[in-house]
Amino acid sequence: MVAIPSRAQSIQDAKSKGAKICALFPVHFPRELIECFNILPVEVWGPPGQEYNLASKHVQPYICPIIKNVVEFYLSGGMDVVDCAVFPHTCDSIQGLATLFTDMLHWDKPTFVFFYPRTSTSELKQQFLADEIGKVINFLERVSGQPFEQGALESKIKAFEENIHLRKQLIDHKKATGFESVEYWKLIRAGEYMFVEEHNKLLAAYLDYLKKNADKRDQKRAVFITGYVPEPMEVFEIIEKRGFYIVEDDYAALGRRLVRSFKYNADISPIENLVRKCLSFNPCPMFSQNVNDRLKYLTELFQYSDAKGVIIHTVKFCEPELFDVPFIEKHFKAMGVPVLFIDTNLEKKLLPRDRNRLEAFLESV
Amino acid sequence: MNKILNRLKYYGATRILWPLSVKKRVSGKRSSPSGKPPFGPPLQITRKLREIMGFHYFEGRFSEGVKPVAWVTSGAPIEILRALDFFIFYPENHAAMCCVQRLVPELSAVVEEKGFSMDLCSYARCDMGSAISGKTPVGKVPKPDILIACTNICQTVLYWYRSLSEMLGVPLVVIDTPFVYGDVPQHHLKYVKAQLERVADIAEDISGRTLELDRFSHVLRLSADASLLWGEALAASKHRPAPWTAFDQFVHMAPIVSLRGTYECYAYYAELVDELRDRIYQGISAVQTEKYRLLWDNLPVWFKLRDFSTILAEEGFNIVISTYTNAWYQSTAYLNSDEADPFEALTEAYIHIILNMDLNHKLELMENLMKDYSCDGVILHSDKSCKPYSIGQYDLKEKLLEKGFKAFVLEADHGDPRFYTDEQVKNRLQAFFEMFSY
Ligand code: SF4
Ligand code: SF4
Repeated sequence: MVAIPSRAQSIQDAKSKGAKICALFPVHFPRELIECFNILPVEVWGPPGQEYNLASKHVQPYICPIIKNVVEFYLSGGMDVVDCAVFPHTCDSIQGLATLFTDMLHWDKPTFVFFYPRTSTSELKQQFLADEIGKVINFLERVSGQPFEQGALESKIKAFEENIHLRKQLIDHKKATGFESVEYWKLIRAGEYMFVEEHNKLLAAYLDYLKKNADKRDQKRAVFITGYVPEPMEVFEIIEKRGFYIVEDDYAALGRRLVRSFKYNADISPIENLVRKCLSFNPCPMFSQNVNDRLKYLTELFQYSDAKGVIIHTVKFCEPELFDVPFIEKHFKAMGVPVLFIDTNLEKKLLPRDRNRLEAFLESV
Repeated sequence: MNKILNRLKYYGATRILWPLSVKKRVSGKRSSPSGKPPFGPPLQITRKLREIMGFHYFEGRFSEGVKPVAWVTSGAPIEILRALDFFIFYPENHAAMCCVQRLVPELSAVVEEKGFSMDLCSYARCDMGSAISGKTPVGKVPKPDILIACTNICQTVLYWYRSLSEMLGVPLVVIDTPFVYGDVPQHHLKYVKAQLERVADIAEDISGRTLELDRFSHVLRLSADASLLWGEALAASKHRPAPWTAFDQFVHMAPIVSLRGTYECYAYYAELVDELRDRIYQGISAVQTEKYRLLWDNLPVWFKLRDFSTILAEEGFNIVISTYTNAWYQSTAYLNSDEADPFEALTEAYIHIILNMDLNHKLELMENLMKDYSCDGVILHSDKSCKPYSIGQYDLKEKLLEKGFKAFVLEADHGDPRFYTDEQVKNRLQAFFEMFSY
């Protein structure tokens, strides 16, 4: 097995090596851009299990738990350690969070709001992304006090390509062996707060370990899971305990960000490569204009997984995800595939009702 | 053949049937509108409002196959479509009517049954429910040739219209307007403008017409002038006592939302301004005893307009202005029709929508409105359905309290009565009223 560092360890380690820390909010942002300035992007997806002693004075109950948890975390000092923040313009709630932080909650660290274009015209998208990335570079130069270097970006983009490659190998290994473990997911999620080279080392070591230790195929059945963020992680424990495993997933925090179709092109600049990578993002309800593109993509993942059922796991009040739920349900049910929908509140543990439903669903599959 | 039949139906209905039905209604027996305490006499122009909005929806019933039909979000730059003679249908305005008539639970049930969550915006739920079931308070809604969603009011419209596009099998065009934090970067303006030009190309294709610059500028001017008149109408409430209430404004904003860019809309507001001036001249107060003046933030609670206005008026409160009604003056009034490039004018106007701007801007706007309209306090409607409008309101309230205004957050929903408790709201309002007795 490999030792997965905690968030705090990773941050401390980066700081001790002179790196700065950037709080990065969900969902889509090319981490390589931040990392090439020797700034560690630490993603803030909650964290789970918070009580809203402070946040409830600032955020309404009907706003999604990501926002409430982030506000609670920030107001209780959880973000003191960071030097700057990047808010991708993911949805109305993150858009509101960015202005709430800077205009109302005395957040005074350097902040950038990154717009991922939602237009369907690819030339416009491309131009806008190039301009927007240019602005991010200016911002990061100011924060880091370092000039932008093409070479640093190039090697980061390549390291992320390697990261994708390793994750794909792990997925293939899972498919071949039926292996499932919460550790695996923790390891993947460590990429939310580690420099990519460090994360790659862990992935490679883990893959090595698995290959050496997997001599027979587990008799497990696959389920496919789509949703927002795998919190509580107990979802994976239950899936494993009930004799199931996940090959591919479409969690916004996990598989959805695995950009497979991108290949580094040495004939164009690193920035152009990054733009192309951003244009290759997988279908996502935060920006997609077409439900069918997403259904097609999900079906491919489902079929590759050879899955027997589909679990949709969103967080409460998440409009972008919730609008797509009926279409996903209808689509898979029409294929004769059982579907379960649960929405959770970023709790530490599943509520008994959700646990029972998940267990009953797995039993029925 | 079908086309000719559709045209005949359209012209017969709009040129003969409609005028006859209006005549009948006008000459028929109607109780003369008289104000009952605690209100002053009602606005005379309300009858005209019913007529022009009635005609709008009536025309819609017969537009399919005669005019190109676009369904658009309330913040969409419709001047392009208007200049190409589209019939423009606003699902939000239609949904607001459904909300007023308390149809949301019934229409929402249609989509909830299909798996849509109750936590989604009630406009989206009831409008999709109407699209699926065909139930509507306006007789019939024309099927769209195109859906246009502009994200300057929220991102929800992207998800909502994407769903509609899938349900109805109609193409969707998204106009993506990056949110404004402080100043707008040049490349954001460039990006929005290029999208508007693309919308024009698509609309030209659908309509089979060319966008004539003269006609486009004329529509822009009508839009800007109507918005300015709407601003004048709102400003009438600066007078003490105010000749109308924000509840009246919520109702009379329908043309500036749905008929922007038409002569009818412009003429309507010219008449409204006249009537309001006249009321001021005659000393007519919308609330018989106006003791306190308030600002309203966010959408109204559509299904409680009457109850709310009565409870407030009985205690001598008049809500004289709202950030919501003001939005239709604030943004489109800045459509500079003399701008050499109309697309530039559109870009500037449609990116600077209150819902597309940061909380500092909103705070400043609220303070200015409260000063300009001599408000004593503010009710911030925390609208479960509208997250972008509501996020930040708890802090806005605190800031406004610090500045010496009385402020109160009302938890409700603009459309779904299932998220509204009469008793709780009454008690909370009572507590707010008590703040004024010290
Ligand atoms: S959970 Fe959904 S609504 Fe909340 S921040 Fe994430 S994308 Fe936005
Ligand atoms: S979320 Fe708000 S702005 Fe968006 S459609 Fe609903 S009510 Fe309108």
